Amino acid sequence: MNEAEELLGAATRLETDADSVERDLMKLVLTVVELLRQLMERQALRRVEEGGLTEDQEERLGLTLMLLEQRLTELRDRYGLAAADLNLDLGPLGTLL
Amino acid sequence: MSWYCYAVAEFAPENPAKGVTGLRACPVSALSAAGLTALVSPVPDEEFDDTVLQANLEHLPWLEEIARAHHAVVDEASRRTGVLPLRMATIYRDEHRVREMLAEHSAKFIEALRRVRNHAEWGVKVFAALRNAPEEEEPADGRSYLRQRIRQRKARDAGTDEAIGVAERIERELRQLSAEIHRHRNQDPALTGRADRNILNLACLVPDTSRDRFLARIEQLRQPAEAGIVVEVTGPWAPYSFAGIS
Amino acid sequence: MGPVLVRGDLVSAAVEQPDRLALVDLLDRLLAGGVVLTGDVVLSVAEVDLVHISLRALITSVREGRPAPW
Repeated sequence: MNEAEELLGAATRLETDADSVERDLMKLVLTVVELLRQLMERQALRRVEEGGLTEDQEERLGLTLMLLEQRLTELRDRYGLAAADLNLDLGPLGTLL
Repeated sequence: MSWYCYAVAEFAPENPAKGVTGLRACPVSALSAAGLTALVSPVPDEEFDDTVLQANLEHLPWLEEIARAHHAVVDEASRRTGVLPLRMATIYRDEHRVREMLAEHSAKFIEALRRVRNHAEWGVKVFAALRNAPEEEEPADGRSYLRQRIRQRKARDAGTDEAIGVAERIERELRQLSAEIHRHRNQDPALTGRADRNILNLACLVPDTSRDRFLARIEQLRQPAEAGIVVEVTGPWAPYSFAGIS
Repeated sequence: MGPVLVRGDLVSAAVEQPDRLALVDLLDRLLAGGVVLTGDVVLSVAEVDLVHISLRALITSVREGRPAPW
């Protein structure tokens, strides 16, 4: 899943640039990135449940998502943000979109 | 200078908003025609002109100021007489236009005022806490991660289904004690600032004579207390959600 | 008595001091409720809706490093 891998790459580059980015801007960025991650994950899980992916594809997809989540958790921790601080909820009744 | 309109009431000799201040501390006036009275106050053209207004409405502190001032007028007037609140930011260029508006919609206003007379609006909101996923082991590989996430989402959805069941039961019960019910859009966590999720946002038009029974029924519906479910009631409100005239 | 937030014991609600009304509850009514008339100022209310405001609230609160103000 190209988009997820691109996002993972971007998240890694963000950390490298962390010192030169204002903290509040970083929080805004993380909120948006988390939003995208949740959207992406939802889409990915739907594809997995529908079937039609090879084991290899599933493995790669799962690994990418897992690493993305880990990376974002690290970034959150670095800026002292709990998941709740990003105040997003994209459950079945999510209303942000 | 333009006129900001707050609400419409049945005509009465005395201004139902006498002594009430509206936006920017201007006194609220009563403009009457066709058996109706519009509650208005003057506002500067510069702030309330077409494009300026649109931009201002997206400026949150401005929006809050206007909303609270508008509500203060409606609230006070509604304690003195029946009123139909207008939607925010209804502006007319001069008095003549206001009276023209009253005359044009006179029959519909009178019918709507009759419909809501001796009723009050009550807001009932149900919130559901997100269920915490039980601790699980770190997934060994990508596919286990996927399976874990699917399991967690299913569990969360089941919790949501349960909460929706509670909400539907509450709504069914309240329909029987209300003249009318209106479902508002579920409130966004970004606006509520709460960690739990708004799953039901109702406005109930309740006859004053049924008020105690209505409130008591909500209290009963709260029992037994379901984990993570919160029911909040606001009111009494003027009939904002039932003021529609077509 | 104006709108109050009624939690817990409803029987005693009548004598409680009202909490400050939540802006979100006001906006539900003033932006999505009330009589809709074509005033002299043409306002496209559909463009000023609660989703739009939600997004702005989120961006503002994140930028200012504090919880959403309501």
